[in-house]
Amino acid sequence: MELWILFGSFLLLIAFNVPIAFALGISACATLVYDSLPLMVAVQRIASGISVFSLLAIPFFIYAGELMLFGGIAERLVRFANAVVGHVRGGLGLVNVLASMLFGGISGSAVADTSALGSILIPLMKKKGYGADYAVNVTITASTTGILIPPSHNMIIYSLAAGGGVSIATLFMAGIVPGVLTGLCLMVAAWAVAVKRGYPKDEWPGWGGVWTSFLGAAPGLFATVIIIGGTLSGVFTVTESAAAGAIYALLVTLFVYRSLSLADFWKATINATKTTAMVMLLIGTASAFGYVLALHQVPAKTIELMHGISTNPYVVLFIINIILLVLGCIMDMAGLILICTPIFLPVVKSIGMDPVQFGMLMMLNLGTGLCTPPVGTCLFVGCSIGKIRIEEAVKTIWPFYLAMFVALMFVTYVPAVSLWVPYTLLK
Amino acid sequence: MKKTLALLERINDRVSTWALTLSGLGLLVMTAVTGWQVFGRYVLNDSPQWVERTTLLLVLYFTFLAGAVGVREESHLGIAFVNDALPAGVRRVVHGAVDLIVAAFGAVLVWNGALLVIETWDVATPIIKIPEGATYLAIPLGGLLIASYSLELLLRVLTGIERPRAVDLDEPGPA
Repeated sequence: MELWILFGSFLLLIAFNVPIAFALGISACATLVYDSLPLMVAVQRIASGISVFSLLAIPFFIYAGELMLFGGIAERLVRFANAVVGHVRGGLGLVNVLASMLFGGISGSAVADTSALGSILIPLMKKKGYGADYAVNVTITASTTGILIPPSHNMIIYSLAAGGGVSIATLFMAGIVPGVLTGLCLMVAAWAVAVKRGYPKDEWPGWGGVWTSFLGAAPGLFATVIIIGGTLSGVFTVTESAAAGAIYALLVTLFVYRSLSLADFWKATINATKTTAMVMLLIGTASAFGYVLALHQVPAKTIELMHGISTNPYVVLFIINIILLVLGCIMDMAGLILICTPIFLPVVKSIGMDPVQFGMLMMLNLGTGLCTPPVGTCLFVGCSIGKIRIEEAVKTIWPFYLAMFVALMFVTYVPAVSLWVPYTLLK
Repeated sequence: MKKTLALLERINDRVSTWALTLSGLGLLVMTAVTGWQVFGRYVLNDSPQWVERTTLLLVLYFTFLAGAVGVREESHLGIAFVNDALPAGVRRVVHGAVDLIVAAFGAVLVWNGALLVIETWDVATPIIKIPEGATYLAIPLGGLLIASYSLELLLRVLTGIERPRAVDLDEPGPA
């Protein structure tokens, strides 16, 4: 009965457009009332869910991303990517994917990727004769590589949801190969569609051109070195490295590129504050929700249920993938990581999967959800930049979904894709 | 009812600006002190212990303040497609009910948050030695804002008065 109240009220609330962050808190409270437990427990859970030191990296990553967005770093990355792959047929599609991977190495958020690169690349692609649907599709699917390529604030959320047994540094390392693999799959799709539609190509700028554009992008790319290098070498904690990244981004945009005005600086600060507050509130209420889940032993019951269906790892993983893909279509990523990790992680552990690999599966799977209707944040942002309707974008997006699905299957069934790098390097 | 709405709107405008400005400053301070911590550890050979506590305090405040403003700007993530498919009349009723529920949740935060503050006021937090209740104070404050904003939204549904424009707090910032 308690579970009917918990899940029933939650589903009812989100169906009628109650913000997910509040729906989680309200359904948790409703269940506690039914259990005749004091609501203060829920309130305290919300607060303790937010006050976690490693989570402080999230505001800093988001802040760094906003500063780079306003400070014109994205533009320089695009120029560099264009010099490298712009001369292939449908070059700008490939440029888009590569730039997204580079920018993902700085911002760590798919939505930031979409809005930063989309606002530069989508209009440019349209001008050069690419279809708006193609431009939007490439941009939004490519932006999901930003979730896998470190840093990634979603991985921090996963590390938290997994109960602290999975280190953030390991997850960051693990994301590199799946991120690059997804990027490559998307490039193949982008190229194939471009050839079929006869899209143009740019001239090869020569190695000199590549070098010049690299120098322009280097100060921005160095942020990645600070964040990743700092974390892995142990010079910084993750939180410190994120703060260092934000401070570095500020210094570069203010003094090296001189592209950030004071008004933009404040705008970036307020934007980062708003985004962070929404993510953190969600984390807080999800932690209250998770407390109620644990109170009623939902994770243990899920294992039982899944084992009742099948104990074959291939089947179990396939089922979980489908469930996540469907949920990803209707809900946003951070919320799903927080709700689904405590439920599914014990299941996959029981069939012998490494929590790090499951993390990658989740990132990629739920990342796909950001590009699917009816609820897909990247899809929404991309379409509004490209000024096309969602139906128009989705009609021709299938090659890109297919590319992501191929990458997802690799991540799901080939453990080495996720685990080789961290377990080789972090020994 | 229209007068109440106009009054509430004025108050909420004021409060939003303040909440966002304070939250923005909070983020700046957080970034700066965390940077200071690294500087302290490697250059001054003295890792300041208060940094971690202070940032945790700030993040709680700005999550609740700026998170509450998100209610008013209706920027929290939600699922709109079911509502969009409803007939206009039903949609209004649902919208009003949702505002009422969120306001009630705000009230829960105010009441239980306040109890938590009172209960923990005599406990000092480690290192920075302020009452633990003072950190939890962010919860009832945020709850109050959430309730107040939801009531404004509810009054808008009841009176049918749309928001004149999205309050663009980006523009008049104290930069």
